[in-house]
Amino acid sequence: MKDNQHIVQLVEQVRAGDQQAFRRLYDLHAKQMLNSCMRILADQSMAKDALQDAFVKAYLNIANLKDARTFSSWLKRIVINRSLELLRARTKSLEALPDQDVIEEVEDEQWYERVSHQQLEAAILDLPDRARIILSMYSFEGLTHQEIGSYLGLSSSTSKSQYRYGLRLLNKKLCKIREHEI
Amino acid sequence: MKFEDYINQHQERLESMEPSISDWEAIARQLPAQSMETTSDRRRMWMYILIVIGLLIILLSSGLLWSQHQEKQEQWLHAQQQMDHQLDEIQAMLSQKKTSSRIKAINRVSMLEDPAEQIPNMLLQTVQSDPSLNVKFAALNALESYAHLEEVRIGLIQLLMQSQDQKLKVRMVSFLSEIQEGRIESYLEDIIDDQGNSSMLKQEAGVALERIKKL
Repeated sequence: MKDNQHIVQLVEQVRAGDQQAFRRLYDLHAKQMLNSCMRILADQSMAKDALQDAFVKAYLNIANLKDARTFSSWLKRIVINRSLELLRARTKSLEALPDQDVIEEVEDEQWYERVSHQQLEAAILDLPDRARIILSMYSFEGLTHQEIGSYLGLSSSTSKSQYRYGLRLLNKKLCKIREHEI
Repeated sequence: MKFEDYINQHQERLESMEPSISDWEAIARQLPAQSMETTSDRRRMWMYILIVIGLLIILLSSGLLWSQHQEKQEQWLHAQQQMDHQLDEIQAMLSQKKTSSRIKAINRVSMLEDPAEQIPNMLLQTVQSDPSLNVKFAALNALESYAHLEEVRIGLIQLLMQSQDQKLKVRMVSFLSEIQEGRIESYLEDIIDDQGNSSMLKQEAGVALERIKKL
């Protein structure tokens, strides 16, 4: 848990020209932000590029941040935007997933608890771009479907149905992994 | 437990990717060395710039006004100097012995675009004291331009009464009646009654008296 008061102090120090304070802000946020980039881009090298670009942009624009208490969420927006920019440069359009429930509902509702964290992480990264992004934005970043919709240019209901579809797809992938293990 | 709640509980363990020292070094290389301006610094800077621009505008406009004032003063001084120069030249010409030179001086006065204040008085003095009748006539003609001035009208009335020269008086009576000077009415009657006056003067006085009475 990051201490918000400490972050506010660091932001003020950065604004006064202290680069070391920015290093401390980086240390506090880098891992979480790098993983956010990774979940959007599913590419280690691109995720690192996105992280670097986002932190440089944050440093250059920190004077314009009105409320230092919102630094973390402000930084996350920069990170998500930069990651999406890189993703769009790589993939011209995010392939839409079928809105219909083409994959059957699974009876086992706690399926994600029966796999290791590594397996779950790998399966998420293996999802198609749009499903992976919506799933990580909603579950990991805590964004609402409306916010996800505005990032991706979708309606919130589309984001919601795509999220459900992504979950089922993830479940299917994990089932296969488990079957393979058995 | 919902999927998102499960993720929320295990998020840290699910985020296996760690940034390396080289990631920070790559960022640090791109950061500018100088200290950054804060929004308030920027606002202050813009305020200073606006104040400086305002001061420059004030300085420039006051400088402009000052130079305009100086220019006007210089023009006025130059005009004054020119007038003084003209007056000196005319005075010099009027004091010459040759009548033609003095008439030239009077003609020159008539041609002045912006005559000096002293000119009407100079002309009245010429009418009064110049030895040549032709010069006096020329000065009287030149005085037509100043007939609207009260001091010129009074000066002419006084000269008419003082003058002993009948020919000059004829010209002055004609001049004063042309400018509709009613204050000479009783004097004109005296001229007519005075047996010592020439018939030409009496006749001119009669014509002038009729002209004035018609006013």
